[in-house]
Amino acid sequence: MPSRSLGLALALAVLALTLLLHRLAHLLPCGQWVQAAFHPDTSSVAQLTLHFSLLPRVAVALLAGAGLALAGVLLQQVLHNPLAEPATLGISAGAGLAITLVSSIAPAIGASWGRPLIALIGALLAVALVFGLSVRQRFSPLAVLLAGLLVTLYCGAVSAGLQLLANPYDLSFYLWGSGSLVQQDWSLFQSLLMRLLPVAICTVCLIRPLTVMALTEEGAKGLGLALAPARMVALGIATCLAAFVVSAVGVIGFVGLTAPALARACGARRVGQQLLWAPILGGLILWLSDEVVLTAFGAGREFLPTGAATALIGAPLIFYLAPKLRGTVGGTRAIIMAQARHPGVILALWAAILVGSGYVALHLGHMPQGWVWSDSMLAFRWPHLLGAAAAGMLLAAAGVLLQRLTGNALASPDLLGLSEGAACGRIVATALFGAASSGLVWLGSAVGAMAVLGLVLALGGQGPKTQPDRFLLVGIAANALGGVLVTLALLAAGPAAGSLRAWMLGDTGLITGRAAISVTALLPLAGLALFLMRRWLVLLPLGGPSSGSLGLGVSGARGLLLLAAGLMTATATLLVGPLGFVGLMSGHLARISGFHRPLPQLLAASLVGGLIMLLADWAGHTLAAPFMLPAGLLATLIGGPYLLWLLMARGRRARV
Amino acid sequence: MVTCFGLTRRSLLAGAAGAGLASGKAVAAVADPRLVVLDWGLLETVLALGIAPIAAAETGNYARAAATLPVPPSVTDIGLRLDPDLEWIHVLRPGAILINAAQSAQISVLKPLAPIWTFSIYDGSGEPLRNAETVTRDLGARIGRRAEAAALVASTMHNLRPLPGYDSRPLLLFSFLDATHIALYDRSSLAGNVLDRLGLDNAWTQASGGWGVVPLSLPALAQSPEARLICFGPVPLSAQSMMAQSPLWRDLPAIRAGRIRLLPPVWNYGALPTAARIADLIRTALARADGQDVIG
Repeated sequence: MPSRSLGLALALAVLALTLLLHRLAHLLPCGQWVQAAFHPDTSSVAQLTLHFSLLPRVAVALLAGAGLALAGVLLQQVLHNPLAEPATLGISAGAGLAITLVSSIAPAIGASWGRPLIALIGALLAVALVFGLSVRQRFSPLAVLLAGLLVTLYCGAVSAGLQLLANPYDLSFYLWGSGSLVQQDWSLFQSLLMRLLPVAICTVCLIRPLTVMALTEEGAKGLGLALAPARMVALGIATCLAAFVVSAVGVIGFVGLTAPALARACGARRVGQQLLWAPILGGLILWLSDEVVLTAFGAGREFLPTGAATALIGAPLIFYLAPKLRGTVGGTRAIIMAQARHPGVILALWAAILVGSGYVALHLGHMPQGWVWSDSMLAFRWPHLLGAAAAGMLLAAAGVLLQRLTGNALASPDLLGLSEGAACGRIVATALFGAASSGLVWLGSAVGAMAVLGLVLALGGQGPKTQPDRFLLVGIAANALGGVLVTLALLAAGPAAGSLRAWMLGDTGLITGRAAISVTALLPLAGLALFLMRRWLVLLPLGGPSSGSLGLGVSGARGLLLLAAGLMTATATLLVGPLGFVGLMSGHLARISGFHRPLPQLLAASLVGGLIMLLADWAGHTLAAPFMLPAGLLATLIGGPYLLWLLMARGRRARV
Repeated sequence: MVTCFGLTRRSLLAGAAGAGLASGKAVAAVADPRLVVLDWGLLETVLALGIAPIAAAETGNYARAAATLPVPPSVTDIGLRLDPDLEWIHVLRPGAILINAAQSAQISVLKPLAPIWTFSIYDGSGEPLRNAETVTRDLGARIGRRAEAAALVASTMHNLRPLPGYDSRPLLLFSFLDATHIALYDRSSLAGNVLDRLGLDNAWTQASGGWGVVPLSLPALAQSPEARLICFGPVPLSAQSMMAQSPLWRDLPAIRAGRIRLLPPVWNYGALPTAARIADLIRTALARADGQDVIG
């Protein structure tokens, strides 16, 4: 079996090497390569470039990729979760946020403690948070993954917010905030090697416990192995690896996910084989990604950060491999909550809170003279407040639809990549037809969302054979691909990039009264449609055959409901951008509050989604007035901790 | 005309500052346009024409990052250029709102507040200096300051006359984004336009997208070994420590020969006052001998 791994590794290496040699040939006659590599002539800029920039960059790419892949294997083995990797568990995001936070608030501490230590602290905090959140669910794979994704989203939002406050027009954050491999000497490679090597060697001791862990817990006890310490050690090692890589080159996603998946697909079944082959493949994947970027854009002109470009290689690989993956996450309904006792009363209460908040938000504002309660600003406030609330309701409803239809608790417009797809569609349509043709822009947004949904469904599997992890994997990949397109669009936009970036972060200041009304008018329509389709919503999750025997055009019904979810996402994204995760949060909040049947859950989630976006919009317009904070960003900041708190608090009660 | 040519940046600065301090009366006597300015290039043009707007976007950030002209304290800061506070603008009862063409997405929400005046300096044509001249005259005509606009154009063009006695080495204009990335200013940037007028060569000759700023990684500096480097501030701490350590940086031909000049921060999407400031800064910097500008 390792022969297939070897073959793939060789193929990747040959590809990357070809591109590297091609670049070298442009730089220097091949007769000087060896001299430049070992003893560069300091009077030759080309030789210095080869020695101090080009070669260390290759070395760092191989090392960082290997480190991330090794962390990925360890996490996936320990957590029994093929989707676990530093980027999906919040480890990379925690490390990245710690670095951003310290360098913007206390650069002196950053300089004296050093980036690796700060990254490690951030990564450990993130791990502690993720496991603290999932302890009540006994670390079920789904609970850990959900907590990890939430921590990732939250850290990302805080980082983006810090950058926005520090320098609203600095595109370099978008370009290299996600990782850069640029080198100007060998010092980074040396320090990274000195940190990664000892940690990696420790993993050799873990081969046996990890192999046993791959069996069942009971089997391990029978073999006389206490697995808890081994688990902790493996987690610690993975966290260190990820933190050191982030401190050296920034957050680079996908390698930790792709490399172990590839190794397994190539037949590396045993833990020892995976620990060997995944790092090799991971290093090569990152190196190849970097070579592709450098060859495509020219040395020094890397308009696409390699950290994002790994998606260009990783995502198609995931798409290709997804149908072959065997799911092990399972337990999609792990979080079971008690039924609400008085659903009608609660719904009425939430509706009252939404309306009351709207009334306060319309009247209370922060003006030059201080806080003012008046109705003189209604004309300016209602469009963005109404638009944001309506968009929040649509996103929440779309989230519930997707979660119910796919039977996947993590399915939501944002995590499955629908929002990002809608954003890309909007960007492409605007470039083609101009921002003025709003109908075509809406169509583009809808096509983008539906295209991603189609891709996720086609590759993720449907009906009773739905593979929840495969589904999410494809969604994560689609999201990352969309992110690459957005980065390129930002670069091409010139001075207008600022407004595009503001919209991506969920800026609601440009919502006009017409746009707000037309989206709000869709709400009753969507409500009516969902009311008429309520029977399907109850029956469809039961699975294909049983629903079919009840005399239902299963695929037709499912298709209609999915189309509704896509259109709702596209419409809302045009108003509030792809950020916010209202679609994910609202459905969960509704369920945690005890709404399980389709229609009450849809209603409850919509009310919560509308409320989150309304509050975020109001806070964004008043807290730092006259400086606006994007509502999408604030929605994540407001809603995220609330959802985390609920997961912890209610999880305890449910178990008792 | 001689008096026009004698109008230097300093006297412009003094004039603008004076106009700001006396904003209430002196400006009101000519006309009271009650301008709200959402673009920094337009802001400095308005100030240079002797008018203090009632409000402008991100005046604090302008003072930190651009600082071509002092903004009078009477000018209210109304928030982000991309998303200003509509309610604050409304309270100030503006006579007109000035935006640049890249901000036109805001027109639909700004329209109810006041007439919108749109000006375009950075339009992708790669001629911001020429456009800034046109915009200065247009703006001057709209607010009854034609003579001041003509004087501003004349004094700026006088400032941008060819520089005599330079050793003709091409210049590479850039600023640091972080330790390993730079923003390079090509011929289509304002600084690049200024360089052309000064009769100096831009070492970066590759085709550009027309927006003027090219994001590059540091090794790209090695592609122009003969150049003299002009580095606009600020230099981030991380870049300073890179400069102290990296052999690649220290062995760059320009760095070995001390051919680098460190300049204060400059707003690279500015108008005529910034163009004049860039010319002043480059002239002064090139008058220094090589090896004098050391970081740290």
